[in-house]
Amino acid sequence: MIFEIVKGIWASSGFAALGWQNAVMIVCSFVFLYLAIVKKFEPLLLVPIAFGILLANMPETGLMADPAGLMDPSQAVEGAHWYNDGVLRLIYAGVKSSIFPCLIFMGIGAMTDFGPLLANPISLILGAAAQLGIYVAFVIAVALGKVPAIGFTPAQAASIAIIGGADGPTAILVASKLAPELLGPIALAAYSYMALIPIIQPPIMKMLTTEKERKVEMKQLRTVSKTEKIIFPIAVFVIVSLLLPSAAPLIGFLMLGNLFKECGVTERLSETSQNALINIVTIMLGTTVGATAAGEQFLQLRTIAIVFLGLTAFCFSTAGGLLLGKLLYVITGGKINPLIGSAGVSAVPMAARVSQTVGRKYNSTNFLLMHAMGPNVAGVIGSAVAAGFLLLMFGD
Amino acid sequence: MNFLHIIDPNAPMAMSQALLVALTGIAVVLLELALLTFIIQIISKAVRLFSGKKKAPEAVIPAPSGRMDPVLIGVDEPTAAVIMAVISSKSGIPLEKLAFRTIRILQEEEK
Repeated sequence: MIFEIVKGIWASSGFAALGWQNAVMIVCSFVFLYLAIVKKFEPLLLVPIAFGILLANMPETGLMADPAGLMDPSQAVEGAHWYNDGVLRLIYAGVKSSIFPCLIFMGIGAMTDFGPLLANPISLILGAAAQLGIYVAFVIAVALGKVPAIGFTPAQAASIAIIGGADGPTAILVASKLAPELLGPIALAAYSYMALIPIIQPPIMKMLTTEKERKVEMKQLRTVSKTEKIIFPIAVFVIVSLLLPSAAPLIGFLMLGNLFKECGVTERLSETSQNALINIVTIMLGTTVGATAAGEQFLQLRTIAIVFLGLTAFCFSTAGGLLLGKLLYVITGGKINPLIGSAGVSAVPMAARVSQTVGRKYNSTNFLLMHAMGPNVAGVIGSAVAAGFLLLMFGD
Repeated sequence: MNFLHIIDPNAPMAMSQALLVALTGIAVVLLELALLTFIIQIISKAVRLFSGKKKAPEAVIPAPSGRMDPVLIGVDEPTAAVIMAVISSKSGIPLEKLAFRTIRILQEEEK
């Protein structure tokens, strides 16, 4: 009898049900935890994502179970209610419904100072050019889709391509709408490459610019009035939403957060958006996105393709911003340092810091940080517009 | 509004169609942000026209000229640049009139 009990305990334990894919993913989660905690690679997101991977790959826990068929009606079990679903599956509804990415955008808006952009509006064009990688990656992904083992559909190709926007919440929103089955690898690739920006960008910056261009000192930015800062979020939202309604959720919440910050009468709302709220949502978003990386779906040739396409997208986006920066350098007679173009890839403020660091390396009296912040915050708008375009093309 | 009648998001796509979508996409982003650039310039001019020159600077965005060369202890260069820019912005004193000798992070025992 004792033997039977021990046998039963073993059979119901996670060890008996642990598949090799789950084991590999558990090891991957340890690696991501190491990168986040020790190497400090985007720790605020990578820690919850890595722990989400760990949670989802523990067998028999049912954390992502969906007996009610909320996400996949084909998995529905007769008589099951929504509250029978796994706790992570229930929280994941916030990702699937776009609530979390939008709330994160609101927090980003409340933290963002669009002053450098208003002082130098041409920054917006740099932010647009730095979305080039999205479309290059899209074309390559469609081409790779012809390979049977990979077989990306156009909607999946669009979801992968948005990694080039270097904006985590945007990538998550697009992937959750167009290719939820690829959400885990896309989110991980997006955040991993954002953390690697200081390694990825400098060689491209060096390759595409001359030493003379890198040494250019830009003149001090003009004063921006409070009125301009208040009108800006309202005007941007109205224009973008009228032109591209599918971009309205992201732009709308981004600009709402920014209005909280700038209007001067909603300090408490601004404070909540940029601290408590964004932190709470980051925990839930990160953990549940990580939990979508179940071993059997994650360990495929497609994941390697996504990692490759993500890197390609980042490189081309950086190149797009730099090349337009070079064009502006020529047009303005050498008044614009092309290095600020690479900051157009979004990833605030890391990409702007890279521009500053590389610029200082070639001219120790050069401070490009505030100039690079313009394209940097423009990149957030640019990637949201690009996401809106892809959702319009491939969404239903 | 969607484009499902033109593009099937789940069916294989011809390369020519993918290129067309990509070109349209980058054109949409460029045009939309170019339009925003234009509108921001109009708003800025209108605001400055109405407010005139009577107002004192409210939010100066400094672009440090780099004449100072402070000693950095436990602080990297980008962080030091941010600190100097913030001090200049909050105090309203142009950066070229400020001198930073040392920027040092406090050690645990010094707090």
